[in-house]
Parts: sequence; C-alpha cells; structure tokens
Amino acid sequence: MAAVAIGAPVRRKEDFRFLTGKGHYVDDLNRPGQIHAYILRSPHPHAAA
Amino acid sequence: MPSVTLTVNGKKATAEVENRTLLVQLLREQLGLTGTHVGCDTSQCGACVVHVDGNSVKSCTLLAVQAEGANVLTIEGLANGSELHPMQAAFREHHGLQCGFCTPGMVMSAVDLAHKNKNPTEHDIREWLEGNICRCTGYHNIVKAIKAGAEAMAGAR
Ligand code: FES
Ligand code: FES
Repeated sequence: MAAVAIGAPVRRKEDFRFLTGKGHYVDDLNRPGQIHAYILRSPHPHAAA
Repeated sequence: MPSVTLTVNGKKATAEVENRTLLVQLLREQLGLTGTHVGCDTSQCGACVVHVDGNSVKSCTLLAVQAEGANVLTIEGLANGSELHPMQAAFREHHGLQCGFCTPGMVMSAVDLAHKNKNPTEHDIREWLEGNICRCTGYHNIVKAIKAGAEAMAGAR
C-alpha cells in the first residue's frame, strides 16, 4: 500500500502555478469575441414594470 | 493615443494606451500577464502589486503612461525558470496561500519589504501588509512565510 496519508502533511499540487502567476481565474479568460455580462438588479423589491 | 515604452520582466515592451489606461490593464490586457490580479477597484486589496523601479506599487493605482521608461517586475518574472524565488518557496513551505488570488501581490510586497528590511519582525510584517488583503488564510501563515522568506533572502546574499 502507498504511504498512509492520514495525519501526514500533504503538499499542495496547485501552489507552484499560483505562486508563479500562472493560475487561471475567471477574470483571466480572454477569448476572441468574448462577451461580457453585467447584472443590473432592480432597485425596487416589488413593483409593476 | 499615447504610446508607452517600458521594460517588463527584463523585456522591452511598447504599447498604445489610452490616457486613462491603468498599469494593471496594460499588463493584463495588452501584455497578457494575468498573474497580476485585480481584486478591488478602490486601491485597497493589493492583489495588483508589482515592482516599478524596485518599489512595490499597486498597479491599479498608477496610469500606464506614468510607467514610461520604467522597469517593471511582475510575479511572472520572479522565479528563475522552475526554481522558485526564496520568497515564493517560503510561501509554499509555510502554506501561505490557499486560493492563490492574493498571492502574487503578497509575494511582490513581501519581496520589497525584505529588500528594505533584512530582518523584519512579525510586527513589521503585519504593518507592511496593511495594503494586502487575503480572504482565505487569516494571515498567520503569510506572516510566517514572509519571515522565513526574508531570512532566506538575507542568507542568499
Ligand atoms: S486591485 Fe489594486 S488594490 Fe485592489
Ligand atoms: S489565498 Fe485566497 S485570498 Fe489569499
């Protein structure tokens, strides 16, 4: 069996990319022709349109 | 449109920008360096910290045209290939990050602190981090990482 993980510190695999600026966050996406959305909420909780 | 010429991570770059273009927009949108993050629009979070001529600055708070002729270092330029900079290595070792969003700014701020103060106390570090916000870690491990990273940097010199 592989080494027991219980109680042992586990090195995170994602840290290298986060530490070197290579993480991918939603705001980093930039596709050709990308469309941006903005949610404009009603200032009125209950109203007739 | 004005044009800016600057050095980014050792490479010369020239770009056409608007008068109002922020340095962070130039880096992220025009130069594709998305390691520098935008976490707020109020100069509070520090996710956007880069070095301009050796000083840490919030790149969301500088106009791109103000960086004309400057030497800019971003998180992408810190490691030496696959070898992490001692401050990056310390963050990894001491679990100074979780989601990693604040991390580029934290690391760039920390490196500047270590350049200016070779042996920062916990108090110095916490005070220096006033302009960097982390929503994940609770700062404890970030402070530990920066202390170790500053020691490693002083030792490497
Ligand atoms: S994006 Fe620059 S301080 Fe938040
Ligand atoms: S690690 Fe997530 S915001 Fe700091």
